[in-house]
Amino acid sequence: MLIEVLHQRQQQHGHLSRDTLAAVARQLQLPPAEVYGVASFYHLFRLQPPTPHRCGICFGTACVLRGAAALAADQEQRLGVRRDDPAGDGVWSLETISCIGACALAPVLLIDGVPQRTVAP
Amino acid sequence: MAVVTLHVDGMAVAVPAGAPLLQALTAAGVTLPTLCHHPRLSPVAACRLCLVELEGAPRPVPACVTAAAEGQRLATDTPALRQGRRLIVELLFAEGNHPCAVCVADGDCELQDAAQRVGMDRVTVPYRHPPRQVDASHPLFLLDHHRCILCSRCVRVCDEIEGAHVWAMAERGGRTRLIAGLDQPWGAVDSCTSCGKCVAVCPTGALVTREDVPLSPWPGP
Repeated sequence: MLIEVLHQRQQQHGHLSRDTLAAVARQLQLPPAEVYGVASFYHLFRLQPPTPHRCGICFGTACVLRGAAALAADQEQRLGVRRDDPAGDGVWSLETISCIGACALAPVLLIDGVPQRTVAP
Repeated sequence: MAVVTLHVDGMAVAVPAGAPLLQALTAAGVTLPTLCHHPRLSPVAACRLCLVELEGAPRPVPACVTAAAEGQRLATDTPALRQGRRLIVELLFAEGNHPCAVCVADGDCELQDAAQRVGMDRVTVPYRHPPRQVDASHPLFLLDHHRCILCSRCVRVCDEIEGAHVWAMAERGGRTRLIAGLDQPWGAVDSCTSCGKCVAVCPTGALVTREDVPLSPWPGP
């Protein structure tokens, strides 16, 4: 129930702000600490507003074997942002993600949620 | 209530059916070091220090959450268990920042006691030296994340006994940390009743009474 509501709120607002989490806790009559604990546990919940553009790099087993780490380091340099820093440079952010099931494309790189055909760097 | 008989290190003991194995160990006079277990709180089997070997089980089982059943045979002090216990304590020391010599809990710390019990004379795994914070926002108590071993006793006592539910665990894996409210400074969480139960159950020096604030008499309700 809590997770469903969090998903819904994130779809509405783009991320889960502290105010949103407090409102969810009130609505579901749950302790705020528990709501924050659950929201921060799952990577798919964003606690900070997303940047306009997001670059995701899959760190699933297949992608790691096909050079995901090097790809991520390369993208860090190109974009000039730190990995897994949700604020990024204000326009782009770089996040590492878990397997999305597109292992045939490994290493998988997503731009704004869309997998790209990439080659190993 | 049905009583079952089982063997702890060869000694026959009788406990109520379904009681945690830890109770059978106590009946047999065996005390294992435990960190997450607290007799008044629900068990979570987080610290894994009470692992015992149960005949017929494919792997060691945590005695705090395994139910006693008729005819079980337990071993509590095998070389593998001793080695495992010591490694667990070493990992706890390496995971946080635990310099006993400068800790307020020195001499009154269950982690330190556990280290002595398992014979940890040094730590054989690399220290993480994680950068952590100290939360001194509460007027009476102090939370030092460096010394927190994430046993969750404070989370449980606040939820199950005080009913304030100030605490929870946030994030996951190596980044797991204790939070108050919506990851707020402890002093800003208005559901905290300042009862001090979390401080009382904390096995380490992570939650302590502030020494810089003189305790004033309770002003009355």
